[in-house]
Amino acid sequence: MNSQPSEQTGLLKPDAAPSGPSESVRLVRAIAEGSHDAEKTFAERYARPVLAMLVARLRNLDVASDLKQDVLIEALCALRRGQVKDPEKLNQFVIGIARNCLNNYFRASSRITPVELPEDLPDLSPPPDQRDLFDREDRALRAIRSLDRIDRSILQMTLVDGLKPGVIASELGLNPDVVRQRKVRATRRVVEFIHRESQKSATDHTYPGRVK
Amino acid sequence: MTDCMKARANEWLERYVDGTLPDEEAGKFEEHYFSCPVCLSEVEALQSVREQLNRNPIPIRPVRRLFAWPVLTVSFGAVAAALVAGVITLHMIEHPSGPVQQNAVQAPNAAVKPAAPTPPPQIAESHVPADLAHLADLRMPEYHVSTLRGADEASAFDGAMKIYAAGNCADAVSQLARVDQQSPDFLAARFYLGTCQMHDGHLDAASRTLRQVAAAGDSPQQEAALYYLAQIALKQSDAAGARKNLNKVISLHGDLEHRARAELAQVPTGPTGR
Repeated sequence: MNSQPSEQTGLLKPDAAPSGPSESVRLVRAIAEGSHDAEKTFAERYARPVLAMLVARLRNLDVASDLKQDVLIEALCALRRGQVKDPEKLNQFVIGIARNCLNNYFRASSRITPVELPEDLPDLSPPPDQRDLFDREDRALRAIRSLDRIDRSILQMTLVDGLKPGVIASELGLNPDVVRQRKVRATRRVVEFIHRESQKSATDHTYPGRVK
Repeated sequence: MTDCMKARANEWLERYVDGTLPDEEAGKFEEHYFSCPVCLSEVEALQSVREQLNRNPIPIRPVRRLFAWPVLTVSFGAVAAALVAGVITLHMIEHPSGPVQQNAVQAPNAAVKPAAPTPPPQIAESHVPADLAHLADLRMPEYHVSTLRGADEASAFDGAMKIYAAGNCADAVSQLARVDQQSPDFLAARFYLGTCQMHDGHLDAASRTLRQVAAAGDSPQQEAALYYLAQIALKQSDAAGARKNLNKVISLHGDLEHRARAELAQVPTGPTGR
């Protein structure tokens, strides 16, 4: 998907994709030239998708948060050294680094060996926005509470316990097809609930790459 | 995002978050949501739901159907029995003969009542401690080694539970205590530690451990922890404690509700206690 750079900021509109060819090329060049602003923009843009990817692969938020910093730092170091062959494929480049970090993590079965850090790296960890974190948790809790007990059980057994609909059906005494239908419906319902609630407070939030 | 990709992303979203999407498709989905804020938000939303469900799990209970066959059979049976008893009684009132006549005259109202179930043994106040202790069921709950995905502590827990399932309570206690120390939030380990302590006769220690499980709130072990707290109270002839915990079990409407009701009916309501 192509991104639409904003005329005023040169960055992305909130409803556009966070990264497009021209934007990526500009960012890669700016970082190679030593722009700290570009580095901050890079970190803001990729912090969320990298974290989502690491959480999905690790299923542990704390470890994923630690590893996210390593991924961003390693990517920035490579960008500074001009190691990106195709700047238009910046997303794939970051994903590749995230996969390498994950593989290292799994190989070492503990924290990965820290990369050698240059001393002049900008602070990539924005101060934790406790309110944002609280809002996100609150929305998720309310989304769960909006479900009836059966749907909630099905989501819990699917997302947390990793059980298949057939097993869930036998545990709950339901037909497997009913479980499948309810699972899809409950998933859509919680996602839409959170999306709707997030939009209510959209003025307080930023998209990756969006200028506050 | 194209409609085609949206449809596929919808299909992938939940499998990606629960970790069952094959690696190749997961990679494609990652490449997609790195440039799609809508899908990224959906992944984050479902991940936050998963995180909250993980932190605040609800006890899983089978769906109760109002007209499930055993209930229906028993209900019809009870109604039929009552009708038969009523008809017979009416017939006897209208056509009295022999000793029944005398009975009907003496207590007409009592005769039309349906037959009451065998009452529980009456517990005399003077014998309360011994009888209460007799009611207590301190058998360890059964455990089947699960195949669920788990956290790091799961292997240590599984090892302990194999020993538990083999009936070796003393060894299981030491291993479960280690798991409990390392992972204080792992309520399953604490629960079975409590039941082992109970089985070994360390009732005060078991009571402390199970109280912690019950106090942790909504968890798969909460109901059973309360039930065993009631059993310990019964064993210690603490009628008030037993009543309190049995009432809590009943209020959860779980698998142990009926058993708790039956036991509560046998615990005297007087101010008996330890």
